Amino acid sequence: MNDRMLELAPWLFSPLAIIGAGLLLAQLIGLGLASRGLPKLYGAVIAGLVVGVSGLGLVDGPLLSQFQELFNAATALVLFEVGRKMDLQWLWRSGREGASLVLASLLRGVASFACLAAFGIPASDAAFIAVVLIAASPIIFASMAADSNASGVATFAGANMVGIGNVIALLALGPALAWIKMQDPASGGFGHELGDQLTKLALGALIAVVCYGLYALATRVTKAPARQRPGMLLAALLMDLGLCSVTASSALLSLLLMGLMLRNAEKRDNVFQAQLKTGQDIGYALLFMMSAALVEIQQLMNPAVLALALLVFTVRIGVTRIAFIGSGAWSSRKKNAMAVSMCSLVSFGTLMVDNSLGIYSGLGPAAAQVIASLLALNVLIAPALTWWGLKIAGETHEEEE
Amino acid sequence: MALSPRITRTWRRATLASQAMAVALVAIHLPAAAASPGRLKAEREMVDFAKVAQHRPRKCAPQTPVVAPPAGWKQTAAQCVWQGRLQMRRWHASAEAVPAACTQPPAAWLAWQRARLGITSAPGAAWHAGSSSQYLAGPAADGTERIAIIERRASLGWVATEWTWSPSPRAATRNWQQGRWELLAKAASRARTEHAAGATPLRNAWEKNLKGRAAEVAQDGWRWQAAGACLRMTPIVTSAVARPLPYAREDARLEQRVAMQIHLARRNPGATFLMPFRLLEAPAAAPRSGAKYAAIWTDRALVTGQLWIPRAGDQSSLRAQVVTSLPARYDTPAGLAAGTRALRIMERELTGIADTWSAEHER
Repeated sequence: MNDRMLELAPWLFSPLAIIGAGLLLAQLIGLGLASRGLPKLYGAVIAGLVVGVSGLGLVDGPLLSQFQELFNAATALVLFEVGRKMDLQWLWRSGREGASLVLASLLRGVASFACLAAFGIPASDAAFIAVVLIAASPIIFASMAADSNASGVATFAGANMVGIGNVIALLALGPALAWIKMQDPASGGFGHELGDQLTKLALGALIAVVCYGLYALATRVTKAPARQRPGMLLAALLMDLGLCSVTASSALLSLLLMGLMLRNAEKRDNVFQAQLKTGQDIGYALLFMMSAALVEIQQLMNPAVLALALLVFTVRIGVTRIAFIGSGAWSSRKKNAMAVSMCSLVSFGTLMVDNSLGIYSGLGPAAAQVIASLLALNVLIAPALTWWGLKIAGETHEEEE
Repeated sequence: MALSPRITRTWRRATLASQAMAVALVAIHLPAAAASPGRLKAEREMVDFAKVAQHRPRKCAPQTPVVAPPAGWKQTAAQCVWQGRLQMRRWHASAEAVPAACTQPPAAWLAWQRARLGITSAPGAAWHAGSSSQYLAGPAADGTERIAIIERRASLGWVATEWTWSPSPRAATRNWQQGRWELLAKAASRARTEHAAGATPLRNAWEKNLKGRAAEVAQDGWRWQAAGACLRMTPIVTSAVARPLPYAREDARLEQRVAMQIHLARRNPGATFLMPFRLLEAPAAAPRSGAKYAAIWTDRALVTGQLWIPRAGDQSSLRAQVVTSLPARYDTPAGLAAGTRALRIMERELTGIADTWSAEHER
């Protein structure tokens, strides 16, 4: 069908035009949904399904591979925002609340590992997937919070958990990858592989400091007003992502750190935030559309794999809720809401801030199938659950927009 | 000591029997042992050398230069008439010629003989797999004339023969020799096979780009050997609706190339693109020639290159694919090195054909 369409309509031939049309469709559907009180970003999900491999087949892997740098830049913009929402001081001082967020992250990893291992996924593969499953998707959480204009204790705690969860996932990914790679006869042993992974984290942090330093210097020297600073920030973020990517160091950690460092610098600047928001909104729509376009609905039809994926999804929400029991600062409604809104997960590509990676290729076929199903579910239902979580926390302000 | 007549008779019988056995043994071995010259005469010659020359051919003088034959061929002793002024050389495709080789022995002989005769014209540079004979003629060095034929014989396989005549300085003799030479040419020219009908402009560009290398127009494509790799080119029949690839270089855009690259990646899901779809540089000889595009990819042990030649006006663009095989273990270091080598060779050949096309048709 794809070939026939291309022959009939040469104007469909342009990849940029196809992406543009998809984006326009996303906005149209999104506004229709928003007027019915539903999340606007589902417009991008629906548009992605329509133009993607499960629909018209106009947007697929080969096409998206040409735009990966664009998507990586969009991811950088979103990740930086997650870092900006993190509050390390609060995490440190809050005591039981902060500890419960860390505990929730760890429990998610352990429970996911138990589930996967119980269903016969090889231990090293299960460990790798479980580590990735620690993290909630910064893109989904930040986009849904922005989409429904959410703010409040649960949103604040959620943003912190996303940040801390991703950092824990990154730290745990080192040993998990080292374990997988150790089985290669050419490997230098667990310690050596782990050292390699830790060096990547350290280098990512160093690059963040350097890029933030350049940004601070540029704004200081030019005394740039708030309106001009987003341009400079974008430049610094691109440099950060670029340098991290070429050195294969941890771009996620680096971008989160950039956000953290900027948190204090640009705290009260509404102009700055408003300027960034437009860029981030386009970034969210692009990323949602891209992810949905790659979802193969047929792949979800394998009942055994789908059941395991749904089980893992539910168990993660369950253990997150259990971890919050010890905290006294949040009401039980807020705890439920937070557990649901943390349901999303990240792909290996998101953790590495490289959309070309997708699923880690070192996994066995069964593990790859499970993670593909999990990611498909993540695209289709996680945004809705996250949005619903924010809604039941009573922290959304859609009407005020 | 005298033997009795009975014993003598028995002895004689035994001797006769052993002689008969020896004769029989020789007879069994004879066809194999007397391979070439004897049998050659038995089969009908296209040119009866002795009759045309009106002299009995003899072994040439020892000072007659030895000519190194092309790869896969073996020479038999040269024969001379007219005091060495007319020489006949003959080669046989050696038995080692493998059936799975890139090109068949006549392709190597044709390329070698064309170079000897200084023929560079494009059509005819490649051997045609269906042919059973061919004829070449032309002036050779030092005022000599040369005629060469190649033919397939039922029992001997490929046989190539070459006659070189250096005309006598005496006018009367030269005229007589000229007459005989023309008779020889007439007889030999029966080996000529014409292939003009199937020659497309693209095949002509390919043959021109061979530049003296052995090549063959086979059933499955046009084969040739380039830097140790066996390449096979097949033209692609263009679909009715042309892809919007512009002819004018100034109309070429990155977006078009990206679109083509996506199209190729969809068509070949298992492919690794060694050279993504790109616009080829205009050759220095034809700086204002039209745009040409190429891409090279590998899929397991097969390296494929494709060339696009858009044409001015309403003509559909020409497309051709070139393939070569990597070793079966293509994922080993040696296989990967072979892949890189194949990429370089393929890129050079595709560019060469594109540049030849530019120089021939678009200057």
